[in-house]
Amino acid sequence: MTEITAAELAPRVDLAVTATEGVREMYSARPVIARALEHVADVEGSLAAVDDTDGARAITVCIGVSTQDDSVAVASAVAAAVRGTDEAAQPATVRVRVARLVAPAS
Amino acid sequence: MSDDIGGSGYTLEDLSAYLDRGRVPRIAAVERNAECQAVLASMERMGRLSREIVEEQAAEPLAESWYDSIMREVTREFRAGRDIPLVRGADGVEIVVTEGALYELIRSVGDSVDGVLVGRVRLQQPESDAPLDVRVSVSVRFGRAMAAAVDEMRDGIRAAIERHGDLRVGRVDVTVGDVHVDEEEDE
Repeated sequence: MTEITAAELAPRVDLAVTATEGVREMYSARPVIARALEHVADVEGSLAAVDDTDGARAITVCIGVSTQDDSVAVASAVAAAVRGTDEAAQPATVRVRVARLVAPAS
Repeated sequence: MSDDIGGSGYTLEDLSAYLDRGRVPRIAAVERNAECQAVLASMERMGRLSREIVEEQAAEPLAESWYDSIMREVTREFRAGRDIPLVRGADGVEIVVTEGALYELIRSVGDSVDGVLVGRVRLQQPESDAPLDVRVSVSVRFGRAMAAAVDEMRDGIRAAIERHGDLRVGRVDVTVGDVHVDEEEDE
């Protein structure tokens, strides 16, 4: 089995997260410096942060959830979806940050 | 403190101008940034609110400084801040909520309470496992029963936060710091 690189995995994670029911929005979870470089270079990289350090993979995603939804259930489904993007990602740590609890438009 | 919002490279004034021109051309650094999105949503709500009040109180239009001071407060609050665990996860999964998300949640409770305008919100958690203490200052519409408004606000905040995972609320202090007039009330 060919191991997927972090750069290859990140867009897959983005797709999996945005396809998860209850995810209202997805935001960049990448470090500020990475975002600043993207801004300067006028490119849009992946939103998920996939970091390989010392052989351990850490995946962070940042989402917005409706105040009407169960944020833990949505975030748990997101974590499961992230894990499903790559079997090799199984030992990875997955961090789901709920960055916004969005009130429905009145 | 930097004026930059969420590491986006854009300030409150930049976001205001972006909103004024209909969010075009699209700025990826803003559209992909949670804090910028929260501030933009708040600006839209505040814009609607201030237009309504100006229409209702044509003789006394809102001072621009009022809008500016609230938006500066919102910007300060919506900074992501700490990550607070939503559940004590196992098997390598961590689920957290940002302080900024909770501030936005508390403000949305105020938006849903009739006759209440939220001024300042403060969130404190003395220790990582302790319940969250909330302090809110509000303005209540003239003629609205203050005790009822405060109770509704307090209960709404507690319910809104505690429906998310393991989050627990300790004290909720709601201070009425001002009274505003709404002519609709007199009709």
